[in-house]
Parts: sequence; C-alpha cells; structure tokens
Amino acid sequence: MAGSPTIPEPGAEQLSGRAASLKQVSNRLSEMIELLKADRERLDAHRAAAGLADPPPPGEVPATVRAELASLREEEGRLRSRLQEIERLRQSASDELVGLQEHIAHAIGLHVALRRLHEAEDRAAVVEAIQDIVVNIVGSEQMAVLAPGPGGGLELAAGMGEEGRVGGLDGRALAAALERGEILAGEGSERALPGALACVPLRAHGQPAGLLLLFGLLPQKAALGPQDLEVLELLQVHGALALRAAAAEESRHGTG
Amino acid sequence: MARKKILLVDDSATVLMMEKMLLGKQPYDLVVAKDGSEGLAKAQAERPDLILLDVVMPRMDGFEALRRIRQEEALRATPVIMVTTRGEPVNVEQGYAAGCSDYITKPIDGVELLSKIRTYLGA
Repeated sequence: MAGSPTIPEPGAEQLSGRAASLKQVSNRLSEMIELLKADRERLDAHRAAAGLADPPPPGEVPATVRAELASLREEEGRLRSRLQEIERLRQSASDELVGLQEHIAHAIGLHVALRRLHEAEDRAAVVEAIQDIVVNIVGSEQMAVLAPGPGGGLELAAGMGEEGRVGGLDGRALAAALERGEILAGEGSERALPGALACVPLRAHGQPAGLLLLFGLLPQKAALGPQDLEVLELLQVHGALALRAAAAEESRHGTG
Repeated sequence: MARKKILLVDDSATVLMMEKMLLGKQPYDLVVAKDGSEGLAKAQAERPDLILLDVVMPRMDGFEALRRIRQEEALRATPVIMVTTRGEPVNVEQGYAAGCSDYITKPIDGVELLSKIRTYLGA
C-alpha cells in the first residue's frame, strides 16, 4: 500500500560502529575529568601551602578583600580628616604671615617717617617731609601745615591748595587744639575739629611747634585707620621735635 | 638663581626709602631714579627685570617715561608697575594705555607691593 515513507532501520554493522565511536568519546571525557581533578588537587595543595582560604562561590567578594576594603576606607577617612586639619593649619599660618607682613610694613612706614623728619636740615625741609609722609604713608593730599609766625600767631607754612579751607576754620578752636595738644580726628565725630578731617597739634615737651590739618583723603582711601593715627601721633611729637631742632640749628647759624 | 634687578622711579624720598626697606631683604638688586627722565636713562642703561614707576614727577611724568620705555626694543616686555596717588579708573586706564603691566595706589601697601612683584618676577 502506498503511504508515508519509511526510515530504514540501521543495520547491525552501523550500530556497532556508532557504539564504538561513543565509547571513544566517553573514554576521552573520562581522561579529561581525571586531568581536571588532578589540576584541582594541585591547586588546593598550593592554596593550602600559601595559607589562602577556600575560594568563594562565583560572584561573591572574598571576606579578606572585604576586610581590606573596609580598612582602606577607614584609612582614607583618617587621611581626609588629616588633610582638612593640615589645610586649616596652612590657612592659619598664611593669615598669620600676612598679618606679620602688614605689621612689618607699618613698622617700616613709621621708621621711614622718623628718618625723613630727623634727616631734614631746615624747617622748610621738615615741613616738606611732613607733607611727603602724609601723602605717601597716610594717604592725603588735602592738607596744610601751620607754624607760629613772627607775631606768635599760627601762619600757613605749607598747603596743597588748601589755603581757603584753612581760612574758613575757627582760629580760636585751632589755638585751643594746639594748646591742648590732642589729635582731633574723624570727620563728623565729637572729637573732630569742624571743617577738618584731622587736626594734629605738633607739640613736644609741652611746647607747640605747629599744626597739621587734613581735609580729605586720596580717592582710593575710605577712612583713617588705627595705623594712620599712629603715624599722626608720630608726626605730632617728632614733627615738633624736628621743627624745633631745625629752628635751633638755623638760629645757631643765623639763617632763621 | 640670578638676582633680579628692580628700578625704583619716584620723586618722593619717603616712597623710595619705603620701597628700599621693603625690598631690601628680598633677593633683588635695586636701582633708584628720582624722576621720569632719570628713570628712562636708568632703564636703558641697567636693563632692569621690573620697574616701579611713579606717575606725578618733575621733568618727565610716569606716563611719558613709560611710553618711551616701551619704544625701546629691549624694554618692551619689561614688567612696569605704576605706583600712583591717582586711583580713579580714568587714571588707571591711562596707565594701561601707556603700556603698564599693573598698578598699585598710594599709600603703598607693603604686602600688596611684594605680592605683585613676586607675581612678575617669580621670586
């Protein structure tokens, strides 16, 4: 009868051939398994000799690595903290250094002012030194220096275009300021001389020698600071001493 | 390392004395001029590594001195720091137009002066 095609049954010879082939493959696999077992035993022996723990299951971080990582993170935290401390110390040292440099620069300013005043050979040179100090160390170009005239009253010895402002000041207040010998500074403050930013009586050993008046500061300078007042205090005493020494020298040489 | 040479140009004895004291302990050789004209001559003769130049001076002011300094091939790249009482923007711009590298205003801030000099001389 016609129907579906039939698959021929393998013959006994063919079956015998396939069986022999499978047997060979099986033997080969057995040999490889034995070789792998031997490798594994050698590896275990090496690991044991090196004191290593058993390998973790695949995908799991070994406990020793985890412990080392935790230790490293702890160390990193300590180092970061130390770094912050060092940075804080560095900043503190840097601030201190800047403070010292400012202090030295101010001391140099005072030293230079002293030298300029006492190296001046006559009264005109002393007045010029006072002006130069006020411009370059204090920071004012609006000033006037008054000195006692032949009649005993205060007269303008030097001014940088401030004659008009000097004329507008209360003469009696100026005389009183010179007599008291007290620096009046701070525009608008109770201690200020009306119309002047600062009034510096040049006075030493109880003797008045002149008056320095400041009417304003350089545009880039906002106000007189504590260090400026120290310069004005230096001018108050040493300006007076320098003026008196110059006057005495001029008198000795008959040039006054 | 070779010492750097700085030319100080100012007509104020106070400023020159201060600059010399501020810079005297630093590794610099100092040359001094008392006006713009002398400053130009000293710049040509001494070939300084840096110049501190006042603006308002007799004979030749700082702007004119600077323009002439910049005309000198050998001084074209020399850093020049203007030292001025005139801190208003218009004056500062005038300084840069004349060829200055930087400026500081009076009264001189010693820390600022040293800092700027070190910036240009790297020492």
